[in-house]
Amino acid sequence: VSDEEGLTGEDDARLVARAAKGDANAFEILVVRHRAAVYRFARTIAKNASDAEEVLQETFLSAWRGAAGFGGRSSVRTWLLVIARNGALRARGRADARREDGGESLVELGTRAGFGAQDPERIALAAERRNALATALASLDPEDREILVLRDLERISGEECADALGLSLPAMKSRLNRARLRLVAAVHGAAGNGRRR
Amino acid sequence: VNGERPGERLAGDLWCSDVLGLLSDVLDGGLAPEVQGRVQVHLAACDQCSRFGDEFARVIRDLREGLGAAEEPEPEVETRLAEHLTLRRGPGRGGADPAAGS
Repeated sequence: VSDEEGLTGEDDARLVARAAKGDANAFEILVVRHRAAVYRFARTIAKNASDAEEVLQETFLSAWRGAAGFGGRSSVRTWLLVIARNGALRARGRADARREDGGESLVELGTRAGFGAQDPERIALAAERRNALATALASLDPEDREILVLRDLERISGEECADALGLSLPAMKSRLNRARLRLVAAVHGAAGNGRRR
Repeated sequence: VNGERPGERLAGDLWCSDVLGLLSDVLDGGLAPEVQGRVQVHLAACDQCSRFGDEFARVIRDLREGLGAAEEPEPEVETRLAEHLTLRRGPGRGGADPAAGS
């Protein structure tokens, strides 16, 4: 995409407004700007890479077709991630991602994550830690992965995250805390397994 | 807060499980000052919560920093995306918000 029209410096909302009027160049800048985040999120919640790519394509196609409906209540990136999420859920055949999260008590969950251990397993090397984290994240349920990606990788605000997931703010916070605890548990388990090998 | 809870400690008027439930709020800074104060009292008195809170914060910090920026999709994925949009984009004047509902 050339910068002949000075579009690359435009903020996202203006680009969406231009796209809504049929400006394909403006839309292409949005695609380049956000495709990495949308694809990572799609990989997080879709069943496989092929579905994720389809979600990526349909997300931007839907965004193009529905650009005039962007109300500016959230950032454009969050808007795109919500479109991706809706598409991924449809692809997975689930209209509703809501899940009861009662079962495991916080202490049980914390204990799995190393709470109360005298000498918590620690992974010292940065590269090993990064791999352990990626493995741990991949091992979680899609509902845990999506909230961790939204809040801790994409760093979208709590309010926007709650909105994106169709949750109240307290419910989002509770789900986030449990997802983080499950991530720590998965890292802890990976470290333990590594040591035992 | 009466009675005992196995494996837990009561400090700052909070049990360990209460603190476990608040760790993300502590990390994200979303707690009311009064609750934040009680959590700090608990952490100062409870070694296992203090240790675990450090570990929890470290893992989330590693997640944010270590896996921070998304990598661009593979070139062939980008190419197929561009082709898909070129082929199917059309005039683009729908109007309904695709993020609304699922």
